[in-house]
Amino acid sequence: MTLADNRIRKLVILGDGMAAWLSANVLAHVLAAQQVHICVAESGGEIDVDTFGPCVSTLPSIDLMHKLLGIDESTFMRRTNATFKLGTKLTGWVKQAESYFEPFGETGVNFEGIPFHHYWLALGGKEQAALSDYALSAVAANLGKFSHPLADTTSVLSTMAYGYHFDAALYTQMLRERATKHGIERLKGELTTVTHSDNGFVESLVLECDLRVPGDFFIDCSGPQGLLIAQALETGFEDWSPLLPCDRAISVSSRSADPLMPYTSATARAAGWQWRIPLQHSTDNGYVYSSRHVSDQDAAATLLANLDGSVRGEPRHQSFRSGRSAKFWNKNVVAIGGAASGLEPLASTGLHLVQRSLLRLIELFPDKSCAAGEATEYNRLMSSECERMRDFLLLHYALNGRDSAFWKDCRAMGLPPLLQRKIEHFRNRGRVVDYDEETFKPPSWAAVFLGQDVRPRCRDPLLDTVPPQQIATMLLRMKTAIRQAAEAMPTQRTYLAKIGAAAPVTID
Amino acid sequence: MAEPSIRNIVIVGGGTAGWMTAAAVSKVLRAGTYTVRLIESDEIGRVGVGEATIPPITTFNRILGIDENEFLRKTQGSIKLAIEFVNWGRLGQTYLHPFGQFGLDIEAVKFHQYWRKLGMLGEVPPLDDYCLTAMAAKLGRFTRPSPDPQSVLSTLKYAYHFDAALYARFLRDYAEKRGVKRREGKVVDVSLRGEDGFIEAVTLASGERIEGDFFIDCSGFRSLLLAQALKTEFDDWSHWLPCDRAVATQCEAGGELTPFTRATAHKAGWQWRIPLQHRIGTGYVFCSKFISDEEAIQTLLANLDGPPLVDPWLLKFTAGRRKQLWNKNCVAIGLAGGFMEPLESTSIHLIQAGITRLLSLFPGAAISPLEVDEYNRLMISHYEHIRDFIILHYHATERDDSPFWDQCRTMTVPETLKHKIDLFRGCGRLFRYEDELFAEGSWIAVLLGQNVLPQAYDPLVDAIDVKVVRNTLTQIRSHVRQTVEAFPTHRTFLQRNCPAPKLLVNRGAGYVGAK
Ligand SMILES: Cc1cc2nc3c(=O)[nH]c(=O)nc-3n(C[C@H](O)[C@H](O)[C@H](O)COP(=O)(O)OP(=O)(O)OC[C@H]3O[C@@H](n4cnc5c(N)ncnc54)[C@H](O)[C@@H]3O)c2cc1C
Repeated sequence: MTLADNRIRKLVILGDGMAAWLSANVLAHVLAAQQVHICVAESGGEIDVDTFGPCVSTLPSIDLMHKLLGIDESTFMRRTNATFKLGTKLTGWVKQAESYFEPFGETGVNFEGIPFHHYWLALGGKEQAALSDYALSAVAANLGKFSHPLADTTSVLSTMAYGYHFDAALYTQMLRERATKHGIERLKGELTTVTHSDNGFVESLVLECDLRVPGDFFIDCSGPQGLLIAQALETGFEDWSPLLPCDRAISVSSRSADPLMPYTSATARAAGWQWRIPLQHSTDNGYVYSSRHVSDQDAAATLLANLDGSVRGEPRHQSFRSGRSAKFWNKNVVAIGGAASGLEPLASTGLHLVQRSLLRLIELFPDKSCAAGEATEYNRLMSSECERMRDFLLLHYALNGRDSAFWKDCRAMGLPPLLQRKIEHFRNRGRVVDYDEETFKPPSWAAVFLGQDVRPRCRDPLLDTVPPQQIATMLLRMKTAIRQAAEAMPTQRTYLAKIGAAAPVTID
Repeated sequence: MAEPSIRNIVIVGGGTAGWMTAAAVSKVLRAGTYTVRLIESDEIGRVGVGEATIPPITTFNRILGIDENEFLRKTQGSIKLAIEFVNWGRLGQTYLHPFGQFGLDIEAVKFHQYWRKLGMLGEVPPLDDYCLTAMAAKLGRFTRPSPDPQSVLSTLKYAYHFDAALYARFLRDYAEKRGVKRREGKVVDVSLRGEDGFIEAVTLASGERIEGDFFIDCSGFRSLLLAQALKTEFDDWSHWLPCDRAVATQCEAGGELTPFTRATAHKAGWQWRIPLQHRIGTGYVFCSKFISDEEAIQTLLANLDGPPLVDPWLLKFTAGRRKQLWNKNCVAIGLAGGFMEPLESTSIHLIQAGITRLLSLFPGAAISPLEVDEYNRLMISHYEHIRDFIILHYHATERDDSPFWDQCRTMTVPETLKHKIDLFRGCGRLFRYEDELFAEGSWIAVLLGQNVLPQAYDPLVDAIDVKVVRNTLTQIRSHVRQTVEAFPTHRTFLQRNCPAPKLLVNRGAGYVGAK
């Protein structure tokens, strides 16, 4: 058996952004005992995942990666100016000044196997509370409060889940240091040439000063330009801009405003939407828009007119393209981060996708030949995952209730058939159809549907068997318990200090 | 909101499918709001087979609030931990497909990958030794699993064997207590509504006309409503699953009461053996193209544990399913919807899956194509995943001792299955589709059991020192063995918890349902 000979000995990561350094850390950790030499070619210039700004908002899943790497939470938060994130508040998507909340964690209880939102709907006009009043994450978030969820599933405190907001550059810096400590080789220089072997596999990268970097396997983290996947291998790109019309973003940092809210805001504007991500000592703001509907100047003016603290530094413009590489894994190259796909940050999926890519790659880790069908399987799984995510983003646009040209165009867009069917199901009877590889589970979809004012035509007949009075009592009890639990929590600022996660104030 | 107009539900057929449906519907859609009627014909009877299940059945019973001991006692039930496959990969070769997982994943790498590495180094400990459920099956022992996920005892998974006639009777009592009205009689006519072709009513031989808003076809192979009245087409899978007949019988239980089903491959098909408390159910599933009914009966009778209790009876079928399982105002559940041979005991599970999905998509005021399409999408993918798993057993074989096996070995399999086999053969990788019934452990058991050996193992396995792997494996193995050795035997467990009354079994007299 010549197995050992065919093993991957040298793995080259191209890029210098968050995707590159997260890949380096994770792969180094998993391949620790394998004598695989890992090297990062810090080239490609452009920052990849953090394309949208200097600040990242994550899903709860990031915790898994940190646990795997043994990254201590308070240390990480202190170093990256981080705050907790309990969900996203969406304002103005349906009507000006009206908001709804997409919380992490649970909303209500699926009593008798019937999804909670059906009970909420059953109360109809009699009950004024918002759906998110039954989610501890949302209630705590709106009060600016936080404490860690409990593991004990009988406690209401176990129903919360959280992600983070943090400074991308500081985070990348932390990962870079960590990787260097673990013996990862760093090579600097612009990529000049890529050489191929006879079967078309990438054989080596040639950097400036004729530094040749050979490898058995390559990870392309060079951002949207996809130096290896798109340029060297000419893999092709699936363009989603007809579906997701935003193609520009402008961002700026502002002075922090108290109280420190543990959520991201996404506020609809005339030709797109504006994010607000609170860090411990600053707030990150940005406007994602469609350049066909608004000029860069007007976009900048809108952004600057809608800040809640004074501006720090210069606004930054970027363009981006929605879509994905036709293959994520081609020959001996896997694209991760911006090189793999471009999705606007509305659902904070960037880092999550990097993480999913790494986990899948590990599950399917190949030998030099990459001949065991791994790439096909990887591509099958990652494409559905990416597409379901895109559909979730699209949903917000498709169901908008605004009047400007941009929003009207969004409503008129033809939708992918799977999404179309999902919407019809919800419209009909409030059911959330669940496909394979969904990042967002039915409760998240329900939160958006109901938040965007979709009301099912008829109710679920199973509810007929539950007496209305019982529903009313149950919901009231739940709401009260959640409210009390949230009020008893400390404010986020206090809590950060208490767990030793408060970041030192920087002078600016 | 408008009052739902679907109030009147009619179930046609009182076999396992009919009574499971009636029981679940009576529990979930409470009487008072809905009227549920079930029609069955004593003259026609049931298939009288279908006595082995898979673990999700325990959930079904739990949702109905059925007491497990009472249920086992009343159905002469026994515990099923695995299926033992004899002569499948090769003549003389035996393997287990246990419920429950093998070993423990180490550092995010699947257990079987470590096992494979040791195998390639020439150390081949049997995979079963690392699975609590398999070990319990082998040693003929059982105890209830622990709810504590920390305990190795929580990895034990089980299902049941039961007497199909007694199970139907048990569920009938349950459903009738909750308001389901049973009507004995033979359906002789089905009337369709002129404007949309929906079923309006069925007429019994007595002339009585029974109207309904919604019909559930549980009439067995006849598929009285879905196929005959609504003319729903059939998707024929016999090119992949060529067996088209079975001869079934029951014999006296002799020897030990094994907590597993046995499936023994014969020249032109295979024989099941399902041990119950009072008897053994057995039958030969075969392909009529290769042997005669007579020869099949001879083979069956030559392979019994004890004297037969009834004359063998013959069943004919075609593998496949209706193109829609829900058409107009009719959903078919059980054999009326489709049939796949009982190799992995999936039929009763498909009944359960049909019921659960129907209830979660239950129509209100009017039947919308949305619900119908979604139901069909979900059920069809369920059928197809199971189909692929069953085909695997026939295809992954080295047997070349009969034309039947030659055909199976060399046939073209569905692309979805081919992809899976290739991926596994390459590097032992397995990917499940998300709503797939059979978990990784099942695929691994059958693939390895039938000699589909990965050419290489996961490269990540080398991240762990082989000595550590060897030690970990040895530890798991002895832990599994020690744990199981402390269990009571299967028979003791049943005697302590749920002994069934001794039934007087008259040779030749048969049971209800046996024809
Ligand atoms: C050989 C074989 C082995 C099997 N082994 C297993 C197994 O191990 N595990 C497993 O899960 N499944 C197994 N199955 C499948 C299992 O037997 C069936 O899924 C299960 O019994 C359900 O059958 P049913 O209720 O759909 O049909 P049936 O049992 O045939 O019931 C049909 C009902 O419809 C009624 N009916 C029919 N026509 C009329 C009419 N005109 N008027 C009034 N009533 C009518 C009959 O009276 C009867 O009550 C096996 C099947 C076969 C063929």
